[in-house]
Formats: sequence, C-alpha cells, structure tokens
Amino acid sequence: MLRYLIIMLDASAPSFCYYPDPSSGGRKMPLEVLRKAVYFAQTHALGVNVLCSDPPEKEILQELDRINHIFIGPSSVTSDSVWNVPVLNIGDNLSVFPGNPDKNIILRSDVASLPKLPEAVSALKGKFLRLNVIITDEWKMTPELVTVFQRILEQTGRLADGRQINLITDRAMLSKPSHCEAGVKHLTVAPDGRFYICPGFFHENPEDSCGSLDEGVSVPLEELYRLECAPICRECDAWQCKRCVWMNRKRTLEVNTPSRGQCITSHVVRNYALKDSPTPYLDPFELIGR
Amino acid sequence: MQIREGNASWRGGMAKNITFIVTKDCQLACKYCYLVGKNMKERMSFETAKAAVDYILGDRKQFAEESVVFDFIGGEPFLEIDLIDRLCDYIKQQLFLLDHPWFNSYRFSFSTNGINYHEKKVQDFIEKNKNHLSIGITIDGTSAKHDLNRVYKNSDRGSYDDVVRNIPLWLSQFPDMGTKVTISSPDIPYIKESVLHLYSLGIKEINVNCVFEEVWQEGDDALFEQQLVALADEIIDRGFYRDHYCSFFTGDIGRPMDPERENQNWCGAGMMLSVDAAGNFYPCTRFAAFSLRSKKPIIIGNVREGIDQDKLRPFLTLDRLTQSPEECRNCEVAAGCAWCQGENYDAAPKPTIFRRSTAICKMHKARVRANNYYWTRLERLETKEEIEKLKNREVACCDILS
Repeated sequence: MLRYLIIMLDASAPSFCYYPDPSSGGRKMPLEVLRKAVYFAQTHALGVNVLCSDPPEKEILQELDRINHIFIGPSSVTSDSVWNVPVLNIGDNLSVFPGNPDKNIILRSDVASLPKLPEAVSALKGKFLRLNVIITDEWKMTPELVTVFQRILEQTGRLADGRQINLITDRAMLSKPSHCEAGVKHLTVAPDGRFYICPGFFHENPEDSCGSLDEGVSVPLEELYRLECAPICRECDAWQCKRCVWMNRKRTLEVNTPSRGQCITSHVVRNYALKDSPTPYLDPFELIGR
Repeated sequence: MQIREGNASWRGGMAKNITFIVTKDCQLACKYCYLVGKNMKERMSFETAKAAVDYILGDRKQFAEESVVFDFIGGEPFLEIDLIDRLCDYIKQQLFLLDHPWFNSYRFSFSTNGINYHEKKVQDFIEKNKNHLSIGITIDGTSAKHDLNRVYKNSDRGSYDDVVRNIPLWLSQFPDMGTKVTISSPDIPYIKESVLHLYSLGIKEINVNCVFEEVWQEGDDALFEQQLVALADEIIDRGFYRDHYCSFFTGDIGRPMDPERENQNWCGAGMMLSVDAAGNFYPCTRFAAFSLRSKKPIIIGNVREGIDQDKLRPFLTLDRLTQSPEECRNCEVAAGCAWCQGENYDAAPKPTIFRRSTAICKMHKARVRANNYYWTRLERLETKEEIEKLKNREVACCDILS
C-alpha cells in the first residue's frame, strides 16, 4: 500500500539515493501538474517528499503548503528550511556545513571513498540527528574489500557518539525488515506528471513510467517489487538493507534480485551490528542458488 | 515383458551443457520456429569458438561439472560442418593437453533438420566422433504433417522427402535415438497418424511438445484430447507401449505439486551456457536476439570478459512458485506442466523472467485427461508391477531444439 509520494519539482534535482546525479537542465514541474500531484497525495493520504535543485518559487511553496511535506535537496539549497533533509557528498567540504542537530542528513559516498567516512562523521559532529550513508555503487563491494570495510565501520562506530548512523545503528534496532520498498510503499511523480517506481527509473528511461496523474497508477507486475517475490531477499535477515530495486535491475536485470556486491555490503553491515550472531556467509545466494 | 526406456538425458542431466550457435541460417523456414531473426550473415568464426572453449576449459572452478555436452545448433548446424569439425578437434586436443576431467566424459550433440545428413563431410565427421555423439533428426510425422510446417525458405515446398530418405542411415548409426515433434495449432489433426508413422519408420522414441507461444485457438484443447485418446488406443491395442515410447503418456503428471518439495524451476536456463557468433554468452539460446520477438537479448557476458555472475543470479534463484500466477500455484493438475523461460520472458508485460506464461494451460489439461485415459486403460491389461515399471521409466530429455 502506498504511503508516500516523491515529487520531483525538476528533472535535474540531484540524487539523494543510489542512482547517479542527473545531467543538468531538466524540465521543471508546471504548477498545474504540481496541483494534481498534491491533490493525488491528499486523496490517497500520502506523505510527500519533494526533490528540487533550486529554491522553489513562492507559488510552488504555497501549493505545497496544502500538505505535509519535506524537502530533500542539496545542502546549499535546503539547509535553512525547517523540513529539509540535506544531501551531502563525501567529497564536500563538510567542515563548513552548518548543519542542525535536530535534522537528518543524507551522505552519499562511493565504495572507493569509504575510507573517508570516519573523517566525514567527525566533521559532521553535532550537526545531525541521524545520518543516512548511501554507498552509491555498493554492487562493487567484493570479498577482498570486506576487511577494509569492516575496519571503516569500526572506526565510524567509535565516532558515532550515540547518534544514529544507519550503517552503524539501524540493524541492531530493527525487529523486522526495513527496506526502501519503491513501487510498493512509494512512487515518484516526475515533472511531466507521470509516475515512476523511483527517480532512478525516471532517469534511466523516461518511457518506463507506471501511469500518470491523469490516468492513475498502473505498476506492471507490481508483485515483483514485494519482498515475498524476491527469492534471495525474503530469506535474508540483513533487515537494514535498502534492497534497492533500481540497483537490482541495473546489475541483474531483475528488480527482485540483488547483485553479489549489494549482498556482501549488507551483510558486513549486518554482522557489524549483530556481532554476537554473525552469518557464516556474506551472500545468501550461497545458500539458495542452484 | 521387456519395457523400453526413454532415451534419458546423458549423465542423468548432470552434465554441463555448452551450446554453440554456429549459424543463424537454415535451409528451412518452419512456420512454428521460434527463431524470428534467422539470417545468413551471423556465422561463427573459428576464432570466436576457440575463445569460448579457452574460457570454459580454463575455469574449472566455474565449470565444475563432471561431464560436458557440447551442443551445436543453428539455424541448421550441419551447414557449418567445416567449422564444427575443426572446433571438435580443437576441443579434444585441449581436453587432452590440459588433462581436463572432461576428456573422458564429453559428448557432441546435434539437433538437425536432417537434410544434408548424408553428405560426405557430415558422414566423415560422424565416423570420426561416433563414440561421443548424439544426433537427433527432427521429423514431424507424416508427409502431410511434416510439410505443413517444415518448408523450405522462400518457397512452400515441404522438406519431408529430403529428410525421410536419411532416416534409415541415421537409425543404422543411432538406433536408440529419438525424434522430437513440435505441435502447433494446425498440426493437431495429424498427431495420431504422425506418431504411428514415425514408429513405422523405425523410430521408437517420440518426444512431443506443444509450442509454448500463444498460438492456441478456441477448441484446440478438445481436438488435442481426441487425438491423444485415439493415439492411446492405437498404442495400447497394437502393443506399442511395450517397446516404443511417446512422451505424451507419462507416469507422474496431472496432480497437485508440493509447494516445498517441488518448488524448483522447470527450465535449465542459466545452468547451461550458450554462445553466438559475436562471442556473446546467453543463459540459453532462447535469450539471444534472433530468438526473441519483443524483448532485448539477455547477454550474460562474452568470450573476452567472461560471465557476469550477477546476470546469472536471477536464473539460479528462480523457483516455480515465485514465477507462477495464482492459477498455477493452486492448479490441481500442475505436475508435468512445462514452461520455457525464454518464452516467459518474451511474453511478459515487462522484461522479466519472473512471470510464467500460461498460454499452454488448456493444452496441458487436455493432455492430462488423455494421459489419465491411457493409464486407466493400461491398468486393465497389465499387472500393478508392470504399470509401475512403465510409469517409472526414465523420461527422455526434451531439450532438443527444432
């Protein structure tokens, strides 16, 4: 069941997740489309996350004011807004970022830059309530990198100082799976008024839509986005894993099947959090693959 | 009573199957052929084939099966007999030089339309490799049935006469080999006479399957059932069931399936490996571009970079229930209902292998009814022990492509 809607105010809004930043110059959402999107959210009792790259104009803000929403955007744009979730990249100059101890932050890093994570957490000390680290190319994680990744988690954990950092604290606090569930719990509406599984699907192929604000939602083979239709994931207890269906499709061509690197990443994180019960494998495929 | 067993797949199906798509050309343009992109241009070079062999033989960890079947298909594989001969010599040489475990456990397998089976180059190849060969010739039955579909390209001339003349030679060399018959909607009225005709030619094993594509018309299932019941009567009344085999009538089909014990995938896509003229790897030939009507090919690697294991994961974790719609999961006669992963992919509303096509459903149910008729009749003629033997004889491997 849908719980929230992601509204892309413009197609060049920077990535807040695994998919890469889009090229600039994308189309902006017309006010008329935004009105329909807000109405859709209202009539379906959905929360709203708003993606943008520039500060929205007054009339856009007025329209959004009709429903509870949060802005997700690059730090320079959103750091002053009450509802914003700033998106940072690990290469940013984090020491000058003003931050807010009551806010969540998204920090994007690729695998190669992960050794900078402890330093980044130090630079952000006192500037966030919760830190979500997105390893944008986690499919590149290999067994050879595991020891290094484990060491990075240990160092980062020592710096967490009681604050929530997804890689460090999430799995230990979860009592059930907490995946992204794009296509099931949320959809994205693009500036053209069409629905997509997530912004990554829109950027990958704008023709790959699943309905529109005018015609309604129509997700072909919707069941494939559900956990019970994912042979590897439904057997897995790395509940903190985002189970990114966009990355799944990118790497394995199927939305319900993660790559080996995704599984290894999730299991290193899981085993760090659940030190007393580590899994004897890093990839559940080893248990169920033919 | 002497019971003939089906020609079971070699090494109990545990061998690695490597398929070389040596050409996308064929003399025929069979009307039911799923290969929609046949052409004369894409012929495999020796260099590409050699690179594939070098990659496969060089990675024993990945290719750890005890045995191997090198399968040569097309198009018509024997159009490329020069390449195949050279390649098979290279494979044998490398298996020896590498002291490879497959040296004592390999087979070359062919599925041919039989038209140039008698030619010298083909016969020389057979003589040279006769201890490691299996060759299936596809003949669909009577002249009328065969020529209904299996016609020469750019004409409507049937190929029956050119194939049937080679059957005696083939059977003299491979007396235990069976043939594969493919059934599409227009073929249904010819089923009984075709199977009996093939028996009369000396072929004792007939593997038949209905095409998986959405071709079936209203009333086809009833007509299919009638044909199979009539065939069952002939097989029983004339005693063929003792020493002949027809895959329509099989012991263990037409019952509900256990959701836990019987949840494995039907199809071997992903367990096998197919390579084309460009050197691209596929989980099965059905995922190559020339086999697909509406989807992009699924390429899982190539001879230069090897196999992308991530692309194989969906195939190796696929199970029956996950891909089956509700009607299949709860089906009372599910056992024996087959599917083709490639056709599932091609027919799915989105590019996925996780959606089972049900185009064959009513034909399977008709087959189950005829199969029940066959066994209930036999039970009146044979002892329980004999019936059990008949039901448990090994079923032939039906992976020979037309």
